[in-house]
Amino acid sequence: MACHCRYVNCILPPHLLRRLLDSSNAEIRHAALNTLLSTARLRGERAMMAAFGAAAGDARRTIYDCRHSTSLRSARLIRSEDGNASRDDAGNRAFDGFGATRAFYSEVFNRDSIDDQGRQLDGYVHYGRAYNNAFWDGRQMVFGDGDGVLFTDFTKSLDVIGHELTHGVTEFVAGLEYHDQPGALNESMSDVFGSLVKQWSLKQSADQADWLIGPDVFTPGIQADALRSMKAPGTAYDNPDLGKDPQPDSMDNYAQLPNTDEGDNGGVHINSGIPNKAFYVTSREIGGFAWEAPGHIWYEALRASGPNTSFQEFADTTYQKAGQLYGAGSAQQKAVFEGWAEVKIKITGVDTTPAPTPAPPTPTPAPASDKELIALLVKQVDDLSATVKQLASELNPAKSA
Amino acid sequence: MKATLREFGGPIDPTGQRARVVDTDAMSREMADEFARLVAEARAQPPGADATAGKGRDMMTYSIAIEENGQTQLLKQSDATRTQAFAELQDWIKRHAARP
Repeated sequence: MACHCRYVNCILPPHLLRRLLDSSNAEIRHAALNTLLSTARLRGERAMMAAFGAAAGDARRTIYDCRHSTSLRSARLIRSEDGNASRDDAGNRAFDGFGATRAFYSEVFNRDSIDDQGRQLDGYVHYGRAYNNAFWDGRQMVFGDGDGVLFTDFTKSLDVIGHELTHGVTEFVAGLEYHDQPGALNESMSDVFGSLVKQWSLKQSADQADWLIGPDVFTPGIQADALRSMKAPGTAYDNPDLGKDPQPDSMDNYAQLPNTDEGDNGGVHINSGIPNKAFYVTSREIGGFAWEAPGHIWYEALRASGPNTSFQEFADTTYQKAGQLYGAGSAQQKAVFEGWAEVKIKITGVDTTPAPTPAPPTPTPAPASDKELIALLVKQVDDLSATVKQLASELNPAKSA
Repeated sequence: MKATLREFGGPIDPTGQRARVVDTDAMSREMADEFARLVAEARAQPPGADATAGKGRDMMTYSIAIEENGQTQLLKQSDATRTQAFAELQDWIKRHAARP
């Protein structure tokens, strides 16, 4: 088969590499195999680093107990990367959730922690008293225990943990400013990749996933599905205790709110429902695992975004990235178009749904794209080999320690 | 003295529509004295410095409007700046206010 990736700086994701193993072009098959082997060797080296005690900052997890204070300075260490499990269940859940999120970004996007340089992951549990929230403070994640009436412990939802850590990823990748549409995109990225962490951990396909954010943070007596629904924004809850889920599911109901605390900084937690639904529809239309094609399209679009990216600009970028990764007129690109169309965002310059292009059973590679593809794979192998070599040299001193 | 607490940016009700209100006119003398003490302590401690450099995400902001003798004073703090005294006043209001 042919990969239509024409963006020379993109990294071919593992699922595409596996398909390339069936290419009719022997050189492509060989290069794809080399890339997969190098990636596997890199993962093995990283696993060995963890086993021998990785260097400080290598995405090491550390969990602290705030003991119901709102001061992080007075928190007590309860779990470290190489230590035994804590007696504190919340601490262990935070530790495991960090591990799952770290593994997701590494395995799916070849990303080394939130900054792609092995930044350590610090978590603080039992923050405050009856604190109904979890947040990212720019450097670490903080969890409340909930009030026991509406909410339980916020470490209980893996998607919430993935959500908060993804704020760190977004900060390093695109720096989406936390107000108005860029801020709603920032929130949406956290919901998208937070949900994907959960789906990946459970090996759920798009049609098996619940597409809910925080279904496990409510107490049993509360009638609510979750904090948010990506599949049906505005329906996650509606009861006297919580009020009604305020999220819109399309631009028709975009909430015009002031950029103030009272306006939720222009509705960042409210209008995120719109790009959330676009991602859900895209994933539904593509099918299979949402962290594969949809996740990679969104990740590449995030990487191409900046502090002030709007909904329209992001939509256009996802459409462009889908074309680069999977081909103009591909099923994946059409799904992206439909995803945004369903939330009433029209891709710029595309008047109608792209004409149906039947997927060939064995796509025929064009000579020009094969040359680019081989060059891309060779570069990817070289980059991976360099990283493996560096890790191996760091590992040797650890082995002799 | 009357106090109205609003919370913004949280997982539910990010625009703080659901206010919590307490009024000393509806309290026992003992409770009213306790409330007055907590208000005085919260007023005396200015908000802490924000160390997040604007990079905090999903952090909440809180306002407590204190109405007394025909005047209103607004105390406003966030997860990044909240003092212990403000947190205690906030918790007290949530415990004793009627459910919104």
